[in-house]
Amino acid sequence: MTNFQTFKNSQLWFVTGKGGVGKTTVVAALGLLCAEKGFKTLLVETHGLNHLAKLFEVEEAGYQGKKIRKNLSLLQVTPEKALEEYLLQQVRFKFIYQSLFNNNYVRHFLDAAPGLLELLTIGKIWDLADGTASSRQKSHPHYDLVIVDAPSTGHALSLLTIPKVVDEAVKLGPLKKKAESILNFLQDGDRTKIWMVTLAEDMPANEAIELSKKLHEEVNVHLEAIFVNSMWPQLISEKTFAEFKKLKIKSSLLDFYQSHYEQNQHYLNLLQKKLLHDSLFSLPLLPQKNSNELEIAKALSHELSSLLSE
Amino acid sequence: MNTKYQNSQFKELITQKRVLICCGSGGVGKTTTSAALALFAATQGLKTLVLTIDPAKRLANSLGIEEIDYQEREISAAKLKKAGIETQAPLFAMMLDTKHTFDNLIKKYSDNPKKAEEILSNQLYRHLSNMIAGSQEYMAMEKLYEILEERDYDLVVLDTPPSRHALDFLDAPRKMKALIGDSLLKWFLKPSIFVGRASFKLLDRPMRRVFKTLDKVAGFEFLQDLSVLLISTSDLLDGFQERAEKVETLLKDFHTSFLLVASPHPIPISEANFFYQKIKKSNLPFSGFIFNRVRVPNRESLKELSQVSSQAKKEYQKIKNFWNQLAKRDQEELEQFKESLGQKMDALIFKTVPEFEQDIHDLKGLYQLAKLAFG
Repeated sequence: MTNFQTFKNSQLWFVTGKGGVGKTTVVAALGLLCAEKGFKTLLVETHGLNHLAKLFEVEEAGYQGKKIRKNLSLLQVTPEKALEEYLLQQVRFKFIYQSLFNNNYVRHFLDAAPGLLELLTIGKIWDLADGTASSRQKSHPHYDLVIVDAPSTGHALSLLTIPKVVDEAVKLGPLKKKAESILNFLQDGDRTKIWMVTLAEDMPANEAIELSKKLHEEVNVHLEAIFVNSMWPQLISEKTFAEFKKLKIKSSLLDFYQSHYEQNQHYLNLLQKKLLHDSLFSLPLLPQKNSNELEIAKALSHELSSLLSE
Repeated sequence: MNTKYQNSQFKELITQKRVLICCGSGGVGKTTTSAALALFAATQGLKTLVLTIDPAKRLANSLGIEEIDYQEREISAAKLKKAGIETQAPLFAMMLDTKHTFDNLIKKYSDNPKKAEEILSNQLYRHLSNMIAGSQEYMAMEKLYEILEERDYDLVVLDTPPSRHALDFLDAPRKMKALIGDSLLKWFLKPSIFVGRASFKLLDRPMRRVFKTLDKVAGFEFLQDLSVLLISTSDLLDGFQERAEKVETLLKDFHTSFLLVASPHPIPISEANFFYQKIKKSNLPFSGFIFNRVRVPNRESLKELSQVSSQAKKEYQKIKNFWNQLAKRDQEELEQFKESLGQKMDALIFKTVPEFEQDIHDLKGLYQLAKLAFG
């Protein structure tokens, strides 16, 4: 079983899942929890999204990162910035770099190089997470743990596959070396944990099953745990149901509740059966007084805290 | 709710337009909405096609498009009738597989099959063709163009991939032009340059420096592979570019319109906003918003409640409070969003569709949705 003891030495958490399953809220909740447990935690967003900044009600964090509360920082990896940084690292002299980066032809060339920007994005994430990469001068503070909010299933998969693709396609040179190191890091189950968020509904559940298969087959990584989000809680007892039934009381509300509840259970069973995973966590649907996402994330982090310390 | 705008808006929309493009983030019911809209159009007497991407298995099944065979499939009148649906015109559905459309495009624009094969078997192309930003989305548009050219549908409803990049294809022609427009780049891509390091001698000093650095950054072999791919594709780019311009014209046409599908939650709303800004900035015709899965307050009052035990009454009330709390959240989100649009909203459709008791996965469910949302 997964619990805090087994992953306290990990350095990189990658949170994947289909759009609309509440992934960002789960990432925020995990971040809050880890920060509270005393880990210096960095949350990372990619692909130009800034949902986490909105959730935490802070200004955009940017590529340099920003502390948002005790033990918790936020950073946005943009591929263009990652490219700039990579070139600077390789070239070392700023004036050469400038002549290179400001050269239109080179820019177009790099722009058109498929996969390069993706590799640099995951490379930057690896750089942030890998505490042992001390040969280079670190351009950022040390973090105990980096948690990535990976955008959609497809993009997450391409981020995770690209090191393998480059490793296979490129024969030598610095890119190959980089790809190799990243791949080793990703495939090291002690250092890298991959989580998935899904819903107990038709599309998200089936996509989760699919993704888990692909991660295994294409990248040779396995899922640490699956969070089944927004589960309808059991709010009504069998006895009450029987009572309503016996008196033949028709209630659209009860019908609605029942059908959602049953659907949740059905797909939870399906996930259990198909994923054969011993770490399948249900997270409850949380009604809040207002639509404040930070409050929801806080409530969710309490749920996670009790789930993960069992 | 906005009473000024009735469902007749959709009747007007489907008769005035020839292409409706549904955009939005994942998990908001975009595919279902697209299918329901197409079904509605068919009941209104329009020969309609819904072009969809990756529908849920059961929905695909009920539309008869569970296989990817690039064929437009008619949903038989008998099948529709069985679900209690009277259509006035035929309804077609088709599933897009963007990866293969890209391969087909390469074949189409290559001078000869050998060349196409060369590209398709390029190691980098094989791994990466589905990663090129916006290529998936672009392929959807490409197919749309082909269908409009060759078929006589009254209406085509296009379901776009659920990503922020859904509109990136708009930049594609410009990007390509910038790339091939550089005559120096063409020279740069000459294979002879990559024959060996000896050829470095032929370069002038600044260029040599650029090359040396590139080599250091990316690795010589990688550059070589890449240049081979770029050389083999650069000839295609002219045809590609011409087509891209035509697609752009089509999208800006008076007979085309974009619809945004969302759900009343912070992230889908912020994504809808992103799309809305992008659509406006690109001068694309826009009709409005459809909000799915909106939880509305439950106001049922059960007289029989007096007959049940106090425990049962308490539990019933618990569910009611729970649900109404969720509903309140949704209403607040929607109000906030409307406010942010301000007066611009007056000219737009703003449709809210309540959450259904069950997932929609068959024709019957689709019809129910179509009637409720558009009819």
